[in-house]
Amino acid sequence: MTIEVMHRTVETNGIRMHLAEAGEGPLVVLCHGFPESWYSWRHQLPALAEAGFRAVAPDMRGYGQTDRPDAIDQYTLFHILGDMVGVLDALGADRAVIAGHDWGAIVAWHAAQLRPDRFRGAIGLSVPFRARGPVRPTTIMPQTDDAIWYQLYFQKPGVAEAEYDRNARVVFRAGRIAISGDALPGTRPFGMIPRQGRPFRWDAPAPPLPRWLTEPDVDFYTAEFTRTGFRGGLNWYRNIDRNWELLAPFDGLRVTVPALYIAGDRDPVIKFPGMDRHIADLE
Amino acid sequence: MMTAEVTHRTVETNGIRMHLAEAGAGPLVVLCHGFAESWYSWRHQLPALAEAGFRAVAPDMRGYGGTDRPEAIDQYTLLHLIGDMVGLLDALGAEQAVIAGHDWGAPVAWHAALLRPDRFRAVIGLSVPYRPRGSVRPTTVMPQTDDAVFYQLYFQTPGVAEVEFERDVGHTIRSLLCAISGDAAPRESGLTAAGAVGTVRRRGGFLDGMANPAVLPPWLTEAEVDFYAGEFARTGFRGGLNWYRNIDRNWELLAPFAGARIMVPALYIAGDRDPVVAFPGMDRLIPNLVSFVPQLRATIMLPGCGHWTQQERAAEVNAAMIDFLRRL
Repeated sequence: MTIEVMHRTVETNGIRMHLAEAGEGPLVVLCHGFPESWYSWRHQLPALAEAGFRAVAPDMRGYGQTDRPDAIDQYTLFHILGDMVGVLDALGADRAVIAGHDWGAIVAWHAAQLRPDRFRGAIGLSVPFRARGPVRPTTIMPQTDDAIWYQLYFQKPGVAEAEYDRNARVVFRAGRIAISGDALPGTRPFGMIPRQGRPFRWDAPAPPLPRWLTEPDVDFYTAEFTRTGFRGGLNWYRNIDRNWELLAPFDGLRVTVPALYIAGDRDPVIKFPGMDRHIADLE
Repeated sequence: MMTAEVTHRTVETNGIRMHLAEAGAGPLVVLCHGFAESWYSWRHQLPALAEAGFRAVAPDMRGYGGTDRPEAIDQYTLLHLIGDMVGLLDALGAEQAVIAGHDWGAPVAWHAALLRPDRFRAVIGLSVPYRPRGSVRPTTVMPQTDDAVFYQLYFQTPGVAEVEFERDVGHTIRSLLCAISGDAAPRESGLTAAGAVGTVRRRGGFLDGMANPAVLPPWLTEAEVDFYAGEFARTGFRGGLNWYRNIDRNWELLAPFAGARIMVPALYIAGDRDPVVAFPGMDRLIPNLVSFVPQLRATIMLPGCGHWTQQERAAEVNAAMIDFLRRL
């Protein structure tokens, strides 16, 4: 029996949020990353439902059919965590397990850290929990004479939007494949953006689709982002330093609820500077 | 009994330099002052707590006195202020502390206990009770009429209250301390001049109509007024006013904590002539505080006491704090 994925919109934390949901039972909230959609959980929604859970995947703040506030400061981790607490309230759920992938993992880890009374377990995919560091994050991101860390490239409003908005289909086809386990060997290392010239190789020949990505998948993401643009998701990156400031009260606080971390050994994220230490220190 | 010596130093916390007054040795008690005050507002508590066997530490809070005053308004959110307090514990090498706060320091203390019960093992609030996060942006529901606005709205526009308060700092301090103390005649308070508690006339200022008596109330000396006046003549009032300019931002940032309760032991003390306890909604909140602070050990309303709780009734506040601390 195939479980149907239902869609609806709820009010949470002052915005309207679109949710995809399936199943009944204990609530599991699924937070997608950049630049993605509830659709990134399309394989989990029916599987979790069949296993006896109520799985709910929102379009996160700034994405898809969820509201996209204009102001950059409306995309702090605290706004996004507030959205998730509000989703539980809107669904009438006292507690949930929260899972997240990529930026969504950061949301999930901090939800569990800040509200263990509401989030009874956390599952992080790709991005491990990272304890707050002693310095402002953007001050220690890699930069050379020739290139800067992609998160620095994302800081200036409008710059990355101009590239991504014009090339949505490439982002969701070649871009997806390039940081997947099926990336061709010798692809330019992920993370550093050249200061001069084109930041991405939009004109590289389109690789064949791997088994896990279909033309309809590429079409879905492309249509969503053609409609919404990438600004909402990029604005999350523009709060990295502000999040660091605002998390000062939680310095040294550990995630104490049961947790699971899953990543791929060919995920560029686990090769980010310092990640080897963060992953080894998780326990 | 020997008077415990109050010593002073500066620590680094949360990216700023913070001046501390401290006294005693023993379990740590952090004392957070309010607007427009100073570590000095705890001058009666520091030696009393020290003599009772505690290590009492009263910082100049962010924006005040000998502590740094960042320029940007968004550097004064409650999360910055609580980050300062967590960093203070780290700087003092203390795993845990009891945190007490008066006026604006009370929301800092209450929320520190809400957010970090592992670091703040108990909380004492003076004047301002814990207010659970409301459903709407706070400034949108503050009282305003054609003639008058709630003083917290008057404080929103950068520069306006600064100009009024800094024109004659001595007069400002004297008016603030006298007009909302329990010794002021009910009609003397500028905060009731426009007819409703806590409002300021649109064409006037915060201090209009406030008593500025020739003779100070018995709990306050000219030398004490001079101390505050000296501090604010040097620093101005902007740092403290910037706290008010984050009220809406704080409300946004606290969304993840909607519905969260304070789970550590707590004590609330206020004066029954404090205008704060007559603010809109307080008549319902204060009797129900235990719903949001289930380990509230007591609510102590001091008869005849006004806003400056720990200065007006030093002996009673000291006794209540020490009794609470000893039973933890």
